[in-house]
Amino acid sequence: MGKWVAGLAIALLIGLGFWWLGVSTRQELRGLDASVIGTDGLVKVLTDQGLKVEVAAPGTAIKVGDIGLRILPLYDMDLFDDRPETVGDVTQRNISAWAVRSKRLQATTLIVLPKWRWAAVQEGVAAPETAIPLEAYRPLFEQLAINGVKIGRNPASFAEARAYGHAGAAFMEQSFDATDLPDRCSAYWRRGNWAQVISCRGEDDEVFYVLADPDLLNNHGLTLADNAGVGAGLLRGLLVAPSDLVYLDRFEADFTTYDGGDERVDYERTPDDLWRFFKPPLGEIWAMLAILLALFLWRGSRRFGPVRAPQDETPERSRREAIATRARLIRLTGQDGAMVADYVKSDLTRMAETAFGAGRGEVARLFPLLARRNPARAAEFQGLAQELMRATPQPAAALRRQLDTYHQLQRILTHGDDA
Amino acid sequence: MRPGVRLLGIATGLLALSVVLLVGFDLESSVVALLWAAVLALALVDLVLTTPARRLGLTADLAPHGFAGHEVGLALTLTGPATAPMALRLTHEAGLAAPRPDGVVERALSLPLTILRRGTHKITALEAMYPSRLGLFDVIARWPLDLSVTGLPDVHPILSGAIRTQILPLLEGSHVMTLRGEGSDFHQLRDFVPGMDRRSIDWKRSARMRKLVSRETRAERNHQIVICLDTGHLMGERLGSLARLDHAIHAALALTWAGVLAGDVMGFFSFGPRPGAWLPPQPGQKSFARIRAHSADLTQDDAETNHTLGLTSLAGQLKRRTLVVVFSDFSDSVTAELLVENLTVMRRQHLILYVSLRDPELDTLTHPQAPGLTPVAAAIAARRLSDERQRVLDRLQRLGILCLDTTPGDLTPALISRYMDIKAREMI
Repeated sequence: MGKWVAGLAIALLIGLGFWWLGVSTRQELRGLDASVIGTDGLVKVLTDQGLKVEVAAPGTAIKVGDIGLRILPLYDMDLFDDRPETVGDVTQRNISAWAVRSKRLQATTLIVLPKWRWAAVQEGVAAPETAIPLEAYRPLFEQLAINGVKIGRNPASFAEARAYGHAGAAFMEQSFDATDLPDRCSAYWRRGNWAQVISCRGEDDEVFYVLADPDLLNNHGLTLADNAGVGAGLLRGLLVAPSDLVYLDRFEADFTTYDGGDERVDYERTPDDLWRFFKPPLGEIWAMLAILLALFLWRGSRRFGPVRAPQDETPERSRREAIATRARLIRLTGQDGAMVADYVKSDLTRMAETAFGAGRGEVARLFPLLARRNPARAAEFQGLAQELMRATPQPAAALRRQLDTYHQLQRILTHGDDA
Repeated sequence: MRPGVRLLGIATGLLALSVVLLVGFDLESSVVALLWAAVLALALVDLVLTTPARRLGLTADLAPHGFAGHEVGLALTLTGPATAPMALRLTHEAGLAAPRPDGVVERALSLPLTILRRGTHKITALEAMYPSRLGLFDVIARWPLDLSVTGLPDVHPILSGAIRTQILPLLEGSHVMTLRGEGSDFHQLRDFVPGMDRRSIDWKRSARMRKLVSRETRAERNHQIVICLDTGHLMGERLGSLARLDHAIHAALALTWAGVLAGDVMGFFSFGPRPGAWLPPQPGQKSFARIRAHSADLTQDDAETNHTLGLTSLAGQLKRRTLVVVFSDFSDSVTAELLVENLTVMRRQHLILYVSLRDPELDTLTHPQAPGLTPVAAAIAARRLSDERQRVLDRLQRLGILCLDTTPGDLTPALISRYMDIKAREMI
């Protein structure tokens, strides 16, 4: 009974964990899309307008070939910087330049430029202060391979215009300068000297469209005037056929699938195919391998001698490990000169204690004592010891050579020339 | 029996050759089959020529007791036809260390088993392996054994008379000591002969007897000595073949015997995380037997020692000034704080001799023999540990606690020597 309860509790906990994970992920993903600068409302508007719309989401799998137009709203002002910590006021959702490019290559794409900072959502105030500065667009255009395009904003608070048979309106309307477009781009939807949508050609000759003002399609803009009608008209114009699919793709991850149905080749399988593995000379080779395998298994099955017990965690082992770890840390600091200096100092102190008694390890008295035994070697030893104690940064090989000489001189001075 | 390395090598080589012949030279399968049949025939001939394991017999004999840290011989006698040199492997419990001899040709031999712990240790099987006549197979013979050996505390120095010899100057009649003023107990008057210390002349009695007589004194007897043994997890550290606890027990028993010989009253106390057994001080050889029997069953505790609880409990048991010989250890200066504090408290009423064991391997690490900078780094790390330990011992000595820090090999003689020194100086 207890086991059943425990199992049920564990299953419940796991289920709860997955549910919470799903909910939190969904909330995280939906936070931006449900905001005033998000595009949740666009799905309903386009569906009402009779367009076929699919939204990219985990678990969906839309074939690339079925997509008529991909809408790609950008919330990232630096496509080369994918660090999660950069997500904030200006960049609200990361997407990389290569992801944008691969999406562009897959299907005709309408890129929707960002316009508002997150502060606009938080404060609920659309003002020049909460808009992204125009000079920040230049790097983004370079990353989108539309460098040379110039963008501007209408100083009038609300600009109203009629397009696609509907009256549209936008606050601080954002447009491209249609008079100064680079060769790769041309105005698709032009009003006077300004273009709302431009059509550009990418590095791989793919055609994509860029919408200057996201307020035409976002939750906030769709509620203004008859922007919904204008937006639907624009998208209908971009579609080759009205029944084509509009694919709202808001994430970096690609949820589309590649339709490779034509590549599949079916082969007829028969039992004879299996027997081909045993036809000469393969049959003989399998048999010999089986004999060899049997011999190895036979040898492995008969153990000689008892199994050795693993070394348990004894205190002496932990002390050795502690010393080895500390030694490794000392080496990792890279201060080999200081390490050797420390070693030599403590070594000389020990020599002095051996000579004069514990607690009387005065190194200064040691060298005269050694000099009485062998003046030349003692002087050499003293010089080397003092050199090492200076802790001058040296290559490891040089230090090692000097240490070898130090030990050699020490042996001679302690045990005589024959040492 | 199992296929030998030689047979596996031949089979692997033959497989490679067969693949080359079949694929490269397009030979008939029958040719390859003939090669394999030849190997099979060779293996069968080898099996026929080899002495099977069932024709071998074994008799084994083992002494029922042995001292921990010492070796006991396992006498083995193999019977049956001659075989190639064989390897022997013994299956035994963890408290023993057995050699793993290879190339054994003797039919009767003695395997030295080292007893690593006190207690009973079983030997359950012996396996012998020898190659077949052509070396294509390994023949494995297995004999189940039902032998056991009991590891006892090492009283070898006591049995050999080493302790008695060392303690001789303290025994009756041996009044000549190197230190002045030791031995306050009057023993007898002797005629003064040239060569004797003139200060030993008893002038008043010499005047009465009209010849020079000298006073002979001897060390005071009947002192109370308590051996205090730490059984915490640090005492499980293995130094050489034995744990610290075993080294301490051996030295403690030697000291007990020395104390018994010198006429002192010996007691015993053990403590770990909690206070252990308390054997009140008793005179005579009975106390030795009692302490030996008790220490043989002492086991090391896995938990940390509670010095405060243990030493406070001991202090409560002691009614008169006592020499307390504490066998304990510490890992660093921080954990030694409680030990120092409690020993200092005990020091006010008793004479404390703190005995710790130095790790010879740590000493070896402090003097790097191998060239290179990594051994130097290890030497620095080991010296820091060693220095930290020395600082604690220095502090204890400054507080008036006698310290004995020595290697396991020197522990017993050094401890007895220090005991004699304490007796001679009448410090108790």
